Amino acid sequence: MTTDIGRLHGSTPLTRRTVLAGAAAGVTVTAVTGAAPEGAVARSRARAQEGARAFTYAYNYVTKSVDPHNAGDNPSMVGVRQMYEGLVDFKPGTFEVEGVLATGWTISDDGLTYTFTLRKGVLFHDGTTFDSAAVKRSYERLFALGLSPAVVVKDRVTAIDTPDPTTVVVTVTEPFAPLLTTLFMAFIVSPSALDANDGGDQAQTWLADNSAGTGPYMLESWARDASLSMVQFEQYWRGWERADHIQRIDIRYVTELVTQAQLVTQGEVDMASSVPVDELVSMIEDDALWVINETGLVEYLVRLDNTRPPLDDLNFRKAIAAAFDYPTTITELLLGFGAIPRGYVPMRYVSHNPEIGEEVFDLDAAREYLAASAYPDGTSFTCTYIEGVEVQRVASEYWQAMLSQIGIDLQLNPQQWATMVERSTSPETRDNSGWFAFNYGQKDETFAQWSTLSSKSAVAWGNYGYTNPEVDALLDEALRTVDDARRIELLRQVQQLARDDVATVNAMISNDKLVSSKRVTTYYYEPAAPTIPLFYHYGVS
Amino acid sequence: MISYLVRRIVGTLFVVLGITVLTFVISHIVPADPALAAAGQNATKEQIAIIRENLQLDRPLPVQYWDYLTGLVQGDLGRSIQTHRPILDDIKTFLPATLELAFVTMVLYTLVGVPLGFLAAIRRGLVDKATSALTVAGVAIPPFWLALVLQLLLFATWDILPYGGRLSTGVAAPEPITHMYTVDSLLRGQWRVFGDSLLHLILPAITLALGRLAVIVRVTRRCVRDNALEDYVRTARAKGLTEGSVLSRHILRNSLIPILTMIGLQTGWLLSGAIVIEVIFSWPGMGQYAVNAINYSDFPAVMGVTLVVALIFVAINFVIDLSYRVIDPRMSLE
Repeated sequence: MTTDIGRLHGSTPLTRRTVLAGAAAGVTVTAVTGAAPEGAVARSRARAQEGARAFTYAYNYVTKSVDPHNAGDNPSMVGVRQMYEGLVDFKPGTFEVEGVLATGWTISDDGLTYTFTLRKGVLFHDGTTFDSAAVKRSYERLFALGLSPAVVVKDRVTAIDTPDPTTVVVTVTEPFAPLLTTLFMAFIVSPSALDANDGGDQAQTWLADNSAGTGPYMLESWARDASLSMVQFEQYWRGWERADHIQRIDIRYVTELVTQAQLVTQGEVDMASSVPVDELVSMIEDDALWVINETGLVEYLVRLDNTRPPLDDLNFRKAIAAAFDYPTTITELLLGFGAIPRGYVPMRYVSHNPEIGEEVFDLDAAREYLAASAYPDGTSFTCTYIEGVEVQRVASEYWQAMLSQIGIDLQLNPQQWATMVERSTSPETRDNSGWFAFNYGQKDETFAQWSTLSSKSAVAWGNYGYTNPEVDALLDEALRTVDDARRIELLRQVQQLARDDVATVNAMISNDKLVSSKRVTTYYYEPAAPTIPLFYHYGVS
Repeated sequence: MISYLVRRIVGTLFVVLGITVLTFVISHIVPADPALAAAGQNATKEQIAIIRENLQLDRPLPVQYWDYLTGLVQGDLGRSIQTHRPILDDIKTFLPATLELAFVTMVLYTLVGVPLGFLAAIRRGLVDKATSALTVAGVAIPPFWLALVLQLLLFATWDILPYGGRLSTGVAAPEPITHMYTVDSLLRGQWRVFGDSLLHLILPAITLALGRLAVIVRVTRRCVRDNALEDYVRTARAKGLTEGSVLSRHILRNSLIPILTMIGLQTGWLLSGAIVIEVIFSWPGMGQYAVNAINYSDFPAVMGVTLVVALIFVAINFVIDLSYRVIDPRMSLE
C-alpha cells in the first residue's frame, strides 16, 4: 500500500461561489450586511497594511506548552501544529491522511511493518537537515516524556530502524489501524537543538521558549496566559508561493466568548474561535464578517452504565432515550446551529453508519418502554456533566423536565472535569450516566469509538461502564484491521449494535462555528482536526 | 522595635506554615487527580500511572508534605503540572501584571476616594447625596457586569479604549526589567509602548476601582465626621487655627489610620480577588494563572499562588502597622 504526497495547490478563496459550494457540501459560510461599527473594516485593513500579512486569532483557551512532545491538549496543539510537522498529516478539508515529512509509505502484508520514505531537502528552524535520525530521536523523546497523545503507540512499537537517511522502518507488535493517524501528532524536532539545549531535562526548558521544528512558522514570543506569536519560516519546504500566505500569526487568549465576538466585529482580530450562538445570530447580519458554520463533527452524548440498575434494563434505557427532546434542544439551545444525531458517531465521519435513523423524541413511546421495564412506576438515576459547560447543563435540565413527566427522577451531578474523570474510573464512584463530547480528540475514528464503547478501553476518560462482549470483539477487530473498507464495515456494525442496545443517549450535534473578518481570503475547514487549524493553508489580504 | 519585628517574623512563619498545611490538605482531599489532568483526555490508565509516579503523587501524604516544606525552605515552590515550569518562575511572570493593575487601581481609588469622602463629610447637601449615590452604586454593581458594560460602551460602541489585554496586537512588550509594562517602557524610553500599556490599564482599573472607591469614600466620610465632633477639634478652632489647618492637620490626619487600614485591605483583596476581572479583560495576571491552575488541578501552582498572596497580605498589614506609628507617634508597636 503506497500513498504519495500531494502538494496543496490552488487554495479556495472565500467567495460567494465558495459559500454556495460549501453549503452544498454541508459547509456554510455566511456573509451578510449591516451592523459593523464604523471604521472596523478600515482598521482591520490598516492593521494589515502595517507590515507583514499578519493574522490574529482569538482563542478561548490558554496554551499550556509549546513543546511538541508535551502538547497533550488542543490549546497547546494550536500553536505546536504551526511550528512542527509529523511524517503524515490530514489532507486539508478531508479525513484523508497524506505524507508531509514522509513522501510515501508501505505497509507489510502482515500489517506489522511500516516503511516510510522521507522527504529530502527539508530544513529545521535551526538550519539543520531533516533525516531519519531526527525521526528516531524525536520518537524516543516522545515516548520517554509520555505526555503526547501519540504515546498511545508506545507499547505497540517494537523497533524504529533507520537503514538510511531517507528511510524509517517502524515495527509494531500487532496490526494497529490508528497508527498513521496517531503519527500525525508525533512531531519531529531537530536533534541538534535537542543536544545543544538538553539541560538535563531533555531540552524541555529550552523548548518552552524556542521552536526547532520543520513547520511553516517559528516561535517569536509566548507571553504565557496572554498571547503566542509566530513568524514565517522563510526556508519552509513547501514554499510561500501564494500571494496571500500569512506571514505572522498572533494567537490571543480571549476566554470570554462575548469579548471574542466584540473583537472580531471591531476588526481587532481576524478570526474568533468561539462565539456564543446568540451573538452569531446578529453577526450574520454584519457585512464585514464571514460566519462559518460547519456541520456534524462534535456530538454531545450521554454515556450509560448498563452494568448497574436501573440502566441495566434495556427498556428503561429506551425510555430515557425517547424522553430526550432532540428537536427542542437543537432549536432552542443551539439556536439551529446543530443537528439531531443519527447514532453515536457524527454523520460527517467516514465510518458513520448511514442506515441509522435520526433520534426520535416520543414521550408516549417512553411511557410504553418504561411500563415494559422493571420500573413501571419510574425510579431515579444520576447523571454527571462538566461544571461550567452550559450546553450540557441546559440540555440536562430539559431532559430532567421531560423525564419527570413520565415519573423518572433524574439527579444531576455537575463536576469539575478532572473530578468527573476521577469518579468515572470506578463503578463505586461513578454516576449512572455521564455527558461526553464525541469528537476527533484522538484524531482517529477507530480509536475514538474503541475508547468510548469498548469495556476494554484503556483510555481513562473513555468507556463509562457500558459492556457488550459483541461490541468489544468487533472493536478489537477494527483496531487490528488495516484495510479501510473492512474496518469501516466493522465500525458500522458496532454503531448499529450500540443503537439497538441504547449504549448512549445521542443528544445533539453541535456545529463548529467560526467568525472571521473578510481580510481572510483563504480558509479550509479541517474535519479531522477542527480545533487545531493549520494556518499555513489560510490566507489574508 | 526589634522585639516587635522578631515577633512579627515568627508570627508570619506560623501563618505560612498554617497556610501550607491547609492548602496541602485541601488540595489532596478533593477528588481530582492532577496526574489525570496532566495526561489529558485521551490518556490511557498506564500513562496516567506513569505521570502520577513522575509527579511523585504515589507517595504517602506526609512524605509529600515534608518534601514540599523542605523545598519551600530552599525557595522552591515546586513545578507546575500545567506549564512544567518552576512555580516561582510562573509567579515571576504573572505577578507583575497583577501588581501593576493593583497599583494603578489603588492610586485611582485613593486619589479619588479620600478627597471625595472628605468633601462629602464637610459639605453636606448635593455633594454628600451624589457621593452616597456613587458609593451605593459602587457596592451594588457587580464588577463582572460593569466590566462587560464598559467594554461594550468604550470599546465596542465608541471605540476609544482597548477591550483588554496588556498591549495591542503588533506592539511588542518592552525588554523586561520589572515585568510591569508601564514601568519598563518608561525606563527604556519606549513612549508608544508606554501609552499603549497605559490605555490597556484604564478599563480594568476603573472596573476594579469603583467597588473599592465606594468603601474608601464611606470610611473617609465616616471618620472625618466622627473626628470633626471631637473635643480636640473644638479646641483647635478655639485656639484660632484656620479652618484649613484644622481640617488637614487635625481632622484628616486623625482619620488616616482607619483609611490606611482599609486601603491596605482593599489592595490585598485586589491581589487575590481580581480573578473575574482578569478573565474578562484577558489580563494575564495571577488571577488568570490561578483559574487555569484550579481548572487543571494543578495543585502545586494553586498552593504557590495561595502562599504568595498570603505573604503579600502579611506584608501589607505589616507596612500598615508601621505606618500607624508614623501617622500617630503616640501609638506603640508593642
